[in-house]
Amino acid sequence: MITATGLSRAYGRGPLAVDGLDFSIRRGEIFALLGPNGAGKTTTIRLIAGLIEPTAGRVLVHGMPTTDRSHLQEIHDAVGVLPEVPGHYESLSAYRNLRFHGRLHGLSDGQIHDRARELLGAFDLWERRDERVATFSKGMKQKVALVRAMLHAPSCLVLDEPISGLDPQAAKTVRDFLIEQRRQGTTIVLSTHNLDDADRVSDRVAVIQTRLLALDTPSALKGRLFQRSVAVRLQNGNPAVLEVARRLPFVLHATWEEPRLQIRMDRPDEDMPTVIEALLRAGYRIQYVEPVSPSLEDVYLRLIQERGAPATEGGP
Amino acid sequence: MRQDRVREIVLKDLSELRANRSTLISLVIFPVFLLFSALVQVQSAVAAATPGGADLRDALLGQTVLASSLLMFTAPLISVVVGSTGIVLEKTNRSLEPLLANPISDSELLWGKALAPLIPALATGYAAFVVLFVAGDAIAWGTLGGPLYPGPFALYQMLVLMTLLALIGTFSTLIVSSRAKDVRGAQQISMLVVLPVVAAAIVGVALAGTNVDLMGILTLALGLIAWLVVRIAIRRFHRESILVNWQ
Repeated sequence: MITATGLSRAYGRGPLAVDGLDFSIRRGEIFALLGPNGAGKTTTIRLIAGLIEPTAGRVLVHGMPTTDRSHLQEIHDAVGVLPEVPGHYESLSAYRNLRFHGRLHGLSDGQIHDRARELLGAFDLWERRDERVATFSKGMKQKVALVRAMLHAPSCLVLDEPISGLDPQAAKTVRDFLIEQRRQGTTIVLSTHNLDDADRVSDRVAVIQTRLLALDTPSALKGRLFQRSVAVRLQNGNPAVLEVARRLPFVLHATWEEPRLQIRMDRPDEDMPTVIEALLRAGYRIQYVEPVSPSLEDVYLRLIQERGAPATEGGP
Repeated sequence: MRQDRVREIVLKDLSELRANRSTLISLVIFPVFLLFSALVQVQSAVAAATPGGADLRDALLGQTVLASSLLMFTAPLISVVVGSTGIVLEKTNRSLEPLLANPISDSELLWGKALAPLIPALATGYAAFVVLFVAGDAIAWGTLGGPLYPGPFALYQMLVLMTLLALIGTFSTLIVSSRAKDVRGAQQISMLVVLPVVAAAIVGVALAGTNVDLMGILTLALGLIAWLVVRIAIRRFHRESILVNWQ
């Protein structure tokens, strides 16, 4: 569907904004680009959308190089773009904005009407289609921009920070919309700062900081980078419980934070009964035991701290 | 190049223009002011003329050459105002990225952005000339016993010289506006580029009078400037540089 090979880009004589990115994005998956400010996310989005040309390497969409001007129509018809800023013509109505973009894609007035009705309707904006975009809230503008990106029914959506700055309700609407689009077979590439959103909606995550630091499913990334931890909530706990835990040879690390004892080990499924026995013998009363999963934020921060680690990819 | 895409860009820019009251007002004020000045000159020339002279019409046309020359300002000034608004609004709205995500070529975008100011500029300029012709005839009819306008010279000013000046204004504005951060700045810098050319053209017309050779040289010079400005605009107008540099 989308393949990037050795993708690099510099602006002028400055340093590389992205350096040698390699990845493939499958049909119907949500692929998230994660990275700090200046990591090259927007540049990567623009390269995938064919808005700028790579300094080296290339991006293929449906096997066509995005910079091939002879395939301009096919590539732009295949890709719908949501930039970081919605970029509407503020003095025009939402519908006039959509009509303009639809006509440039070669849609007829009837097709634009039907499609706008369906998509604006999904966001409860059809009744407000004739109002000037300038009067819309940020969330409404973002929704109209998503409709614009989807208007020509592209097979791939390229979204730069689609949920950034939205209130929780609008964010949920957009998240649900993306999941529904994936269900219908649309491939979605999104950049985001919101790690929780990436964790919730994406099938695979690419962590980039100019170079590709890691690429895998969110759960695989967490599993690969962190040992498993278990939290034990104690009714009568105190710092001395750490000594009980540390005496056990398989405990790699233990911390006490009232009222929880957190233990890291390689094989909790096998060793946890021994931990419980030891705690009970020492007179502690256990309220409950639960596994602790690292968040994608933990994964992200560790990868960024260890910048320079070789890029690795695993299956979903 | 697909004309339907160029037309869509033009129609969209004109829709934005309709919604922009201050630009619309300037579209009306410029020609009205210039037209009023031109008609005052015609009135003065006619009032000072002695009825019944053999070459009275030619003499009056010679005396009112500045009146019709003034109207040559109309189209280039409007093209600067409308053109800079069209380009800078794309920047301030941050609408360039979604615009370039559409399947439009660089040349379709360039001609869309050029025709959007050129069409209202020339339409207003031609309309101002037509009003001058009608009103000038009404003023001079009693003295001349016939029409004063449109002589071939005034028609040439309208159809050739003003059109060339509008082209220069439009494409200069495209070049300048790509580097400006706001509409006012773009208009001021574009005016600085365009006004000397228009002023020089009007001085040239005044000096040339009805001398066909001199008028030919003036037309050639303006045509050369217009060709150069269009070439520079085409050379600089690439989606890559638009997206990266027009921010």
